[in-house]
Amino acid sequence: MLDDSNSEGDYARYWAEWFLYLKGNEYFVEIDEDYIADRFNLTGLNSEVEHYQAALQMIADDLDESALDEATREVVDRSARHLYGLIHARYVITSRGMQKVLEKYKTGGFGRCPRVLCNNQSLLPVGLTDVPGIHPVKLYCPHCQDIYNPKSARHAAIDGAYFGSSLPHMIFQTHPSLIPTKSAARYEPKIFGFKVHEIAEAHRWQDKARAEKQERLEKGVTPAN
Amino acid sequence: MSYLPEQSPAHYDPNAEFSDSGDSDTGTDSISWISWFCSYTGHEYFTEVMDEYIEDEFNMTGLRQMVPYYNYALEMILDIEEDLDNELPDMPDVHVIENSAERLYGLVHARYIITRQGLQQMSDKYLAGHFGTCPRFLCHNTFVVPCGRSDTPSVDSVKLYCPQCKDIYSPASTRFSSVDGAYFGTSFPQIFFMTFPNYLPTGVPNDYYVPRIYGFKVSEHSKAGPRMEWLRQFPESFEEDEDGDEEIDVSLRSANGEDTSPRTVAPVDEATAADDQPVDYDQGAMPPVKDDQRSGVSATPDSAADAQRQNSTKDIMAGIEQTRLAS
Repeated sequence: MLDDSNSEGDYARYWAEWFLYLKGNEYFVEIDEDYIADRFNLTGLNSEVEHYQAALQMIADDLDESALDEATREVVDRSARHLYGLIHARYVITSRGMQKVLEKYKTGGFGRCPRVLCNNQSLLPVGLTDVPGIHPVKLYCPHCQDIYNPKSARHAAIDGAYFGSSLPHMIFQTHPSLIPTKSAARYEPKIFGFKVHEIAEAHRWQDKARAEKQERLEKGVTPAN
Repeated sequence: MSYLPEQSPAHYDPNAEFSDSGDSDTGTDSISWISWFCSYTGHEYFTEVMDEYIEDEFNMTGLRQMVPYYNYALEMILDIEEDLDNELPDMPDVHVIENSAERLYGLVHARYIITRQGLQQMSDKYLAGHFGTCPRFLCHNTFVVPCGRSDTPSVDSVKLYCPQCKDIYSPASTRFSSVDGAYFGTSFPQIFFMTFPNYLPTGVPNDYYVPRIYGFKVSEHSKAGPRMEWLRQFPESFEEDEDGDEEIDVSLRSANGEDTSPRTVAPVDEATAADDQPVDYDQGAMPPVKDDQRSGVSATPDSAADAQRQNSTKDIMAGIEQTRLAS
């Protein structure tokens, strides 16, 4: 199997490279050929993707496209993109995949947190669900631990399931040293320099919630829910 | 992102800007400086300050000390041409006056938008979606308003305040990074939503994101566990009041008649328009699955808090509605 992928390495990279250069696909990392070549990693995907065999051949550039008519070629092409996305979701939570995502993360390849008080924290892509076709990809900020819509509309068409709902949390479980230091800073709305009563009250409530949580964590008590 | 005043985009060049009008010398007559300034790329957040407001010396109190070449700048803003043509010996370069005019206009703008007329103009822009929507996913495209982090110019660029999460965000487009936040002021969002309390988002719970791995919540005892939920939670989201409030809520809504909730207006911002609408997957093989999370959210409005807020602001709202209808 290893020999197989080596001998056709140049061709195999062709479809994937084209796919990764497509506009909107900037968040994807390149999947190792060996990973796709190992059928064990693709378990269950044949029921998820139409024309599975042809799509897989297209990704591996094994497909004789001249034998297909235009309509079939289009369907297979769509299936291939879908399949690549689903494999991508599995690949990025392997240690090799996480490494590739982290390289991108460190250069801000997924964008920066729009929240002012996060000071341009780098973001990670995340799906809201692992089922394809439900939600487009979102961005997770490890500083405020919240999710944001991507800036650009072209990313609104990328399925969140191609990244999976676990990716950022898996990364920070594996690399706890990369967790940014949290800050309690928050925006304080003011009118002519004076705090707004309602919001100041809410902030005191938040402070209390935070202190309670801190206490709970120090004692090691599990919350009721 | 640091604010760079020298990156100011406003280079008032009538010859370049209005060359299509044929006669470049009279080009400025067709459009006032204020209209030109507000239509400039990156100045989408600005509203047009009325000439009468600027002409009133009282409204300009204290600005003379903050703006170099105040008189020239004021004349440029008000399109008073004669002194600019006279070429006095101490007359500075036209670009210097342009920068002064921009600063002067910005500072007047910050004062103007918290007047009654200014708030009304900003309200129209708000409802038209000119300020964009909150980038936070769980705010579900709540409309935002511009604000500054300081009332002193050249400190920080303009930011956007979201009334749902009560937080501030950098505008999505970099063209706003050169717009000074002081031109909107630190108080504007609060005054805006106090004047128009019916624009405050209702029916969207103060949700926070729960990190999960393979569908299981990440424990808060984990080093990488959730630590920041407090930031997105507000006391009102926990006050589950008795049923009586909900009934008041319903009657109030029907009494109001029109639903002025800003989220019912289709966002026009290109960058955010596609989001959260039924997504146009170019992978046609994926059938659009029912968006259960979103419909679940809208099915359970935070009506207790909603009723509370509506009740307390009922009188103010009625007054505002009247003034709006009258104007």
